Amino acid sequence: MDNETIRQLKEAVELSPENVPLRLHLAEVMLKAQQFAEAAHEFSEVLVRSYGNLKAKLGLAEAYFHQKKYSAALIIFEEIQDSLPVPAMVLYVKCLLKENSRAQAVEMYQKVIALHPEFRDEEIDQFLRMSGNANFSEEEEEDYDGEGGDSDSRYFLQKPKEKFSDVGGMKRIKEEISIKIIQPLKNPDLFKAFGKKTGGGILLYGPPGCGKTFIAKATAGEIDAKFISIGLHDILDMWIGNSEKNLHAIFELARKNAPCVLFFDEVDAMGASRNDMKQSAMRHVINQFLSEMDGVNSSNEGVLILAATNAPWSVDPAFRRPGRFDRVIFVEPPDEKAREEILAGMLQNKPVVDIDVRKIAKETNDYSGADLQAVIDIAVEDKLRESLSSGVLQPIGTKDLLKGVKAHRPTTLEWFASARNYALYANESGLYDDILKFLKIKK
Amino acid sequence: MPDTDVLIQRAHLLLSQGRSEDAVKQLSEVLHADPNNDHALSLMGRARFDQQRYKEGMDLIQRAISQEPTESYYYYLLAFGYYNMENNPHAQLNIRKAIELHPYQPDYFGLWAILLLEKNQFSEALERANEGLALDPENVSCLNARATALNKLNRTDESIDTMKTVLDADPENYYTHVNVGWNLLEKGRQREATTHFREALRLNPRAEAARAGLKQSLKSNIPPYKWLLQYSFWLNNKGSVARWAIPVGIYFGVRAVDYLSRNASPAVATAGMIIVGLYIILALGSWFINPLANLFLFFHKDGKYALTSGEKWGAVLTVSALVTGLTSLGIYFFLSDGVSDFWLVAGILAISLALPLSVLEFPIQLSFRNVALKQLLAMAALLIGLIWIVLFFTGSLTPALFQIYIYIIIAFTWGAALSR
Repeated sequence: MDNETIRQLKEAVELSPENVPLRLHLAEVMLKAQQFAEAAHEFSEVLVRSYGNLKAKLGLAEAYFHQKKYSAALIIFEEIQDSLPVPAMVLYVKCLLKENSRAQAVEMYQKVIALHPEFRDEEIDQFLRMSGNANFSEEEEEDYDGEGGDSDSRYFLQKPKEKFSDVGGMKRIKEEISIKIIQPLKNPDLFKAFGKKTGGGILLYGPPGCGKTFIAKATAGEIDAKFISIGLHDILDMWIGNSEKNLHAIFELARKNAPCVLFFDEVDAMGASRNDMKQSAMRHVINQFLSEMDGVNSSNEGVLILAATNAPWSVDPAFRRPGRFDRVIFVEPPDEKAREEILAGMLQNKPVVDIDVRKIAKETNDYSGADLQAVIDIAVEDKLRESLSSGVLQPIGTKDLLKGVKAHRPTTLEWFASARNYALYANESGLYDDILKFLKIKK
Repeated sequence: MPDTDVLIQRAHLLLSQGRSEDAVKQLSEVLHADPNNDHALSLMGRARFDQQRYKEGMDLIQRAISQEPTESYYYYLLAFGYYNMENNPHAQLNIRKAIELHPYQPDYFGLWAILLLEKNQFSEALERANEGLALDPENVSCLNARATALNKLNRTDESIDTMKTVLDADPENYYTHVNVGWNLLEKGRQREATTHFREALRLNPRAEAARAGLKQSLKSNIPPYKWLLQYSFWLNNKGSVARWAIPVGIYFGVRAVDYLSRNASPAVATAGMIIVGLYIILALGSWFINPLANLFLFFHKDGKYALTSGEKWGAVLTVSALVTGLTSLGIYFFLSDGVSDFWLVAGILAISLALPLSVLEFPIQLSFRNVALKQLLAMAALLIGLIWIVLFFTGSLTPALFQIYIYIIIAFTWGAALSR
């Protein structure tokens, strides 16, 4: 119907090109029919013929907004700032958000709220609440249900774009994750035929900064699933607040958004030390976690559970029973080849001149990904200083990076010092055999 | 502003999980909002203790005390800090204050007993431990202190009973196993001690005290090492004056025997020679037994991982110097024509080099701040030894210079022994 109307209106406008109201009407109909480009064209035509036409300006701004020409829209909004109707104000706020001018957006949004106290807009709320603005704290209710990606729950659902191919090295770990949790999701029938039960999770452990979080994210990206990351503070607050409810809510959120990767970072924080456990009722959180993981009350179909820790020795042994984190994987510092890949990736888009990545990789034994980043940061800072004083851009060379290597000690050494002790003296079920192998200790 | 209560609770949890670094982050936030929060200050102090930054931790606890001078727990923490800084008198002062303020906490008595044990006041320590146990008969630190005190007082049966009780009360406490291990080692039961040190390491692989104990108990399998260890236990249980008076007394006793036997009948002279010879073996043995025993650990399946790289270096270098020296002396006695004393001098130089090497701590740091006197002496002696070796090989070593060197080395052995 719209197309027919548009065609007729177009004909009419062609017959009387100077008829401003008619052309304006055509543009507005086009806007409604989501033909934004044409609408924008007609609005500008109107403005040529009737300079300062408010309706045309508003229409043009809206058309620009939908064409994602936010800065163009912003210019128009700024021009007519004082005579904006409420819907236009909301659009203005959205434009400002897209252009990252939070402060202005907040100011404008406050005007909207002043005019319409009960006004709500999910998209804006999400952005402004993320920026930590206290104005909207009334939103803070226990609402974990969320609606797809735009949910405004406390635990942010992400949709990672990283794939396994973005992760340098870690071939063994990728394989393990693939066979344990990705393939069952992709070929459920095959696994059923072999009578292999799916479910359970993977516990990743290793020195800090070696990409445990990154590979978890990439797992979600690889299978195009959503990703929920639960950090140290979230875990700690389970001890403090109404813990079991929160934990249940997290799992429910993941189940509703299946397929979903649920990632617990620093999971060892969930189990306090043995002495404390005896005295208090802290066992509750662990029990709740385990029963959620076992899927006692509701099925965990499509929910992949990953956990990471720097201190596997502090993880409650009950976590490692079959059906739970029955696969425990050591994420070791990148080997020489992986370091080459990582360095090459990090140095992309940076001003460099004939870098010998292999030589640097050779010199950086035991360096984690985060350490390599630190090395590059040191080199970049040096070069920035030089460039500023000489006024000419100085590219980074192999020598600068080697200097950075000298200045930065690998942070994994400290971790290995204590890991070595655990592997030597507390390796009861062969749990730390990978560490022994990595350290080349034969027992 | 974030809720300080939640932050403090988080910090508490983090501390109990041994995540002191994360706890410090939470606490800094609290202190940022409320710089005089005594609870946060004391927790921050505990976190610094965990990181073995005792000085900082004690400063924080002092601040907490100035806010809340009637909280006994803060004085207990302060006493604990002083204990770790090896300031026993101040530690005792503060633990007394804590008990004055709140006499119903058994852990306070446990710490006090440990402090008294350190000062060799065994029966007082036993009394304090018993007072604490009257409040809570299963308190682990009081039970441990009681067991050690009884052991030192030679009431071995009671001590073993107490150790059994404490192991029953909490079999997974690594500290108890370490304590039991030391008590057994002192009684010369190194095999049982080894199992307890192993268990302690299994429970807490990072416990340095357990690793040290494991090394001692393994080395005690070598009889001479065991004797010397028993001797040093015995010496340590004497008062602080006796600790240096006894070795000096023995030395002068031997010198007197030596002097008297020279002018006596041949039979007495032989007996004197034997005594002097035994003494020389003992004295040299006390220098070299530790690196030799460390070398023995090299070939033990657990021992080789317990050694630090510094100990390995010390053992290898000392033993190489010793072997070189003894070989040279052997050549001198068996092959030499008696005219040239090349091999004799070479042997003495090499053995003298082994003396500082055996007490030197590796890796050698070339800064002179915060270095123990003994280490400085050993570094100096090693340097002088190397200079004399250069002189020897360039042929410019005169008998007078050699004599000076011997005096230097003797001075060094006395200096090093007394600077403990």
